[in-house]
Amino acid sequence: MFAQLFERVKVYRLNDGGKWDDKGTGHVSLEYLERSEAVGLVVIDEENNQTLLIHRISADDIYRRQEDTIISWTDPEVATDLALSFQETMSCSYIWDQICSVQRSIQFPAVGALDSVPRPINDDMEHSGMSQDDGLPLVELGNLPQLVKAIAEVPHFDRDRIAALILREQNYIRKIIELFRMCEDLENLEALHMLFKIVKGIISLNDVHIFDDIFSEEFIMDIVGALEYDPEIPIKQNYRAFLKEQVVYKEVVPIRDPTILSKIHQTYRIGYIKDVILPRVLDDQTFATFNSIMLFNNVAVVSALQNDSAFLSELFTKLWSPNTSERGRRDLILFVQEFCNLSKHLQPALRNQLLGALVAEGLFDIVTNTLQSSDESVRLSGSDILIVISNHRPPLLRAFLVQQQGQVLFSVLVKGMLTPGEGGFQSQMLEIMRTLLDSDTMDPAQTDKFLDVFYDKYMDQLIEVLTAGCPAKSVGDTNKQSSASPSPSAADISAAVVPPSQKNSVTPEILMSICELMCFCVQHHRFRIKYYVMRNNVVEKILRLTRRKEKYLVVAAVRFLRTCIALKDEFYNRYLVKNNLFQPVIQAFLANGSRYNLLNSAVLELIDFIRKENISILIAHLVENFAEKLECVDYVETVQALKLKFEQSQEGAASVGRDAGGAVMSSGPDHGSMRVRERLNQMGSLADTRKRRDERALDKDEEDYFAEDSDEEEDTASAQESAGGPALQSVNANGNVLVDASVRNNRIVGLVDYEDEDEETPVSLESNGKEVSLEKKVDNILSPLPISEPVWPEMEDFPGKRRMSPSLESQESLEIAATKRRKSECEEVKNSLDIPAAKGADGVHSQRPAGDDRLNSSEVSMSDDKTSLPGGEAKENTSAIDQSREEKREPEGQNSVDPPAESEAEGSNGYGSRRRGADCEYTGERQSALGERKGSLEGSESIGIGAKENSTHPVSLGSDVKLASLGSEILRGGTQPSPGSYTVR
Amino acid sequence: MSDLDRQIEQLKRCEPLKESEVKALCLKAIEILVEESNVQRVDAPVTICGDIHGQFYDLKELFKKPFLLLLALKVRYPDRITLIRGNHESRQITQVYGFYDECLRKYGSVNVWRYCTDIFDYLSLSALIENRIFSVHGGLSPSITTLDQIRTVDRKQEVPHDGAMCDLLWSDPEEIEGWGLSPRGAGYLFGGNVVTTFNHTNKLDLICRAHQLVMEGYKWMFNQQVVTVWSAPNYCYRCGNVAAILELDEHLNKKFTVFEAAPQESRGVPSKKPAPEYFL
Repeated sequence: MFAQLFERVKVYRLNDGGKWDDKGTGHVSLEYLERSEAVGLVVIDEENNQTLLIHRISADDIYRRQEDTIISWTDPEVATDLALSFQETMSCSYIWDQICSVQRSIQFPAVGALDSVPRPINDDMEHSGMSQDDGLPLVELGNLPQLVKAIAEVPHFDRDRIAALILREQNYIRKIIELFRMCEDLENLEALHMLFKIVKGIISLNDVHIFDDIFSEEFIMDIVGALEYDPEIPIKQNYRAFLKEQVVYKEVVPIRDPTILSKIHQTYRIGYIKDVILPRVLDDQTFATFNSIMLFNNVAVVSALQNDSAFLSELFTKLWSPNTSERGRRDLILFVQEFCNLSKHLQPALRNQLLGALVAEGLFDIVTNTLQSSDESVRLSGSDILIVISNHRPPLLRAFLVQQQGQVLFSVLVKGMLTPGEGGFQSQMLEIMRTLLDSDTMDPAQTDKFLDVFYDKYMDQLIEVLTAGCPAKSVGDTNKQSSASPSPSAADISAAVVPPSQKNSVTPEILMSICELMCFCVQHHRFRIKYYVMRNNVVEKILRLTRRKEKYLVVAAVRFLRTCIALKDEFYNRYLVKNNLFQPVIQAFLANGSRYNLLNSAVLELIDFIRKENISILIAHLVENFAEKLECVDYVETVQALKLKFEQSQEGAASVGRDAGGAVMSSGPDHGSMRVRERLNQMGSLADTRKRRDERALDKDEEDYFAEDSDEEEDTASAQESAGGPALQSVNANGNVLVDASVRNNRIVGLVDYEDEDEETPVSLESNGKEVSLEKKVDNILSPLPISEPVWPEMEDFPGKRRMSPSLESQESLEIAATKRRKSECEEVKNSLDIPAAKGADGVHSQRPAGDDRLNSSEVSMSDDKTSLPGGEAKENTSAIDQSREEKREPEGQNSVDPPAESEAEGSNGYGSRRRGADCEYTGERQSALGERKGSLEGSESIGIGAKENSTHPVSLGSDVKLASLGSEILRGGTQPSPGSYTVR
Repeated sequence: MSDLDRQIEQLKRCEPLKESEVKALCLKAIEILVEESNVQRVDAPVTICGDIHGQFYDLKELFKKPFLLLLALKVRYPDRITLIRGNHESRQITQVYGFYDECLRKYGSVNVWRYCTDIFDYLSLSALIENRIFSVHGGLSPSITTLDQIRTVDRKQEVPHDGAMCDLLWSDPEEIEGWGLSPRGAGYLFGGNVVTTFNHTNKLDLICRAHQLVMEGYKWMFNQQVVTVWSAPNYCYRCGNVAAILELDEHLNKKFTVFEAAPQESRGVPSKKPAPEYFL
């Protein structure tokens, strides 16, 4: 299309009457005319593909260029005047240049015919005159120009044919190689330049069989040699010298199979051609072919070595041997690194088998030493090995970390993560730690152990480094360190990790890493991190980053606060309010003035998020405490909108007070929303154990569903919501949380009722009693007093409960889940639905086969009988829904989704998304993109309560106590990821 | 600054920086970028470039060298260069196009990839030239009616799959009324009336965007209310397109400069350093 425009010409001939006759319109090109062995102009009629004109280029000066678009001449052979009128100036110039160049080449035959015109080889040549049946020119020195033309200037569509011709001819490649050798011996540079083009052309044919040939051990170096003579690079390249002399193939353990050895060399050389010699020449397809050849080679090599038991044992014998030199050891480690990296291309089962075998041979012990090497490149190799394993078989590494004598590797990882350095070691350690802490890939049995160790022994170190890196405020920071070191066993290690001298050298990068990791924990470890955060004033400590001068750290701190808020967990929210934790953020925001930068936007977004999500306790807190200070924000409507929201809720409260007389409605500030939210959280947590955040499409729809339902009962809903207003205020006013607790007790009664309706299990009294007592403990947490053990026996990591659910996730399914999560969904749900029976034995929990309403309403696609459990709860449940549902839909209607929450999800899975690879938005349809989006959005909030920990009880602190009475199995019912099935409208 | 100048020269020669240099450079860049607005104000005269797409084989180099070079220049001349984020500046997409693997192979770890992608999150979303010309990678969003609304986007995140930030980076103008679904699966199609309203509301003359290959290098739409500028000549080395940049003088007079792909020899020798040793 575009290319053709270039050559479009009209052909004119001067007739006897002295007028120009239009002979037709066609496309012109310069062709090699076989018969006359010369280059000529050929015009092919654009309509009937007839040849309009053939004209052998004359060396004589007969051509004239007129204006910009006409070339004319008097043809001496036929004694006529001819003219070509070009459609495009550019193509006229191009043909003109070519004519000139051909003339030169006739006069000075040394120069290749069409070579001097720097025009890229492309489809422009598709009208070349090679007839379809022509064979290839004989491989002879004198034929080089023809060979160039026949092989190197092939139009794209014609490549297959040329490739077939080459393959058909006996030893065609061999002859070319021999010709090359000869020309190189003769130092015939012109010929070599042409051979460069020919070889390049052969590669560009992108034919696998030809590649087999030219990349064979016998020819590949000659191919590389021919590629040294690029006419466009003035100096000859020395690729062969590099490959032969400079590159070292290191055979740390002898590989005895010659075919394997040959594949190893071939792979390197192909990679060299691809990346060094021809990176700009290869088109996408050829590039892909190169990659796949290399990939197949890699797989063949790794599989062969894997099946060679002698090889592995020899490898590890050397690794373990004290006689191995430092250098030898380094090479061995680099080898293992490459081995592990290549294993990524194996089929999952084979790869896991290989990694398992390496681990069984003691790889982790080796790596433990490696990571402490003084040579950073060796350390990086070690960390890279761990990254491969943590990405593909994280349970292996977790198990080792916990079980290793003295937990040396664990300490090294944490230390590495907290030690600044020039290279990338620190961020590697961080990545490994983050991968390990990802509860999505955890074996439930392991979860507790691993996280226990991490939280008991190592989390303190993170916080210590963090506080060391931030200027502490002189006041209001009393109860920090003393209560924060619960684990005596961690003391020695932490002392070693954070020596006092280092405390002053905490780099911004480290602080950033810690902050990001804490965000990750808040999103993934609901219960433990919550407990930890409350007990150690973590939010307050992280927000000290707002005093750092680096603006990106300030922004990171804001992001942490935003992460906590995104959970929409009343427990966090009350904690934030009680400790006035918005203060530092607002302060930093105000200090920034009205400067429009990332900090400004981040805080505005945070406020907007609170308003959009209608988090009433935070709205009230912000308005009451900061409205005046924020008056100055007049450049956007954020603050005004927040105030308006607050006032609306106030007004609503007043009117409801009148209507309802405050009777039953004294159930709490956000009774409805809490209930719904917790149900949502329950639902959400079903999904969480295995799915990645962005695959949780259900919860969003679930929530919409509830919101939708609530329409009918809006009056009730808003009544309840607004009735909460005054109660909430009293809490705020006197700061007495116990008021809040009593309020919650009411709510709990409601919950228990609802459970009773739901199921036959008569546990209401029991659980009610429990919850009341729990409330006190919750309040203890809220006040910064130390917690007495044991804490919340019903909580997710109560050992007795923990045992119940591991069966849900076998080791195998976990590993599948780590890579491909979606597949096992149905099975998972089914499994989870089987659990109630098993759990029935456990008297503590009410066995509510939950997810019932969810399943019913959502038309989950699986047809397991068990899914249709007694339900009909949806209405009942949502009758208490609050305004927030209502209002929340409004922005969603416009935007499809509100950005804040998704930022949350994305923020968390920078790494995750990388692992997920290519399921990008642009490939899918809009629908699926939306689905995904919703999934991840919900993922961020619905992980609700303890959900991410594993399949144990999704219980949170405080307000979520009611969940304690719900078995985890409840939560698993609705794990249906398909976004499509959720059009409940 | 001499270090930086040296690095710039090195990058111009297409020679890779050391990992530690990349890291330091990225950190400096973050310090600068964090101070920028979602709608970064720019004074004329100014030259606007669209996608450059790295322009190395296979988009492999999509961001590395070009991106690092731009970044180095940005750090060197913070006031003279404004980088805004494009849809390709995302972790997922760089991964699809192989930048991730490339870094892994070349530097032995993905740290460089990580540094670079971390930077993406800080890049501004759009620019506003003399309050008259709104410059953005993709286009408009149905959830954004005023430029002020962009202010409340927390841009420090991976490009989301929808929402205002996504739309700004992914949408395309199209000859339709109002809004349409985008075949890209992200962002929207927006019609001339949408642009008219937006420009009127925000007192703009012109929306200048990239994101779509135009053979002529630039393309006017909707009665000169939108212009697409594409700055990657001969895209993927075979589209045969020309590229354009838009120069605006202090009076916002527009001049498009169209250019073709640089001849091969002026691009320098590729400098990918192969690993000096191999085991497998």
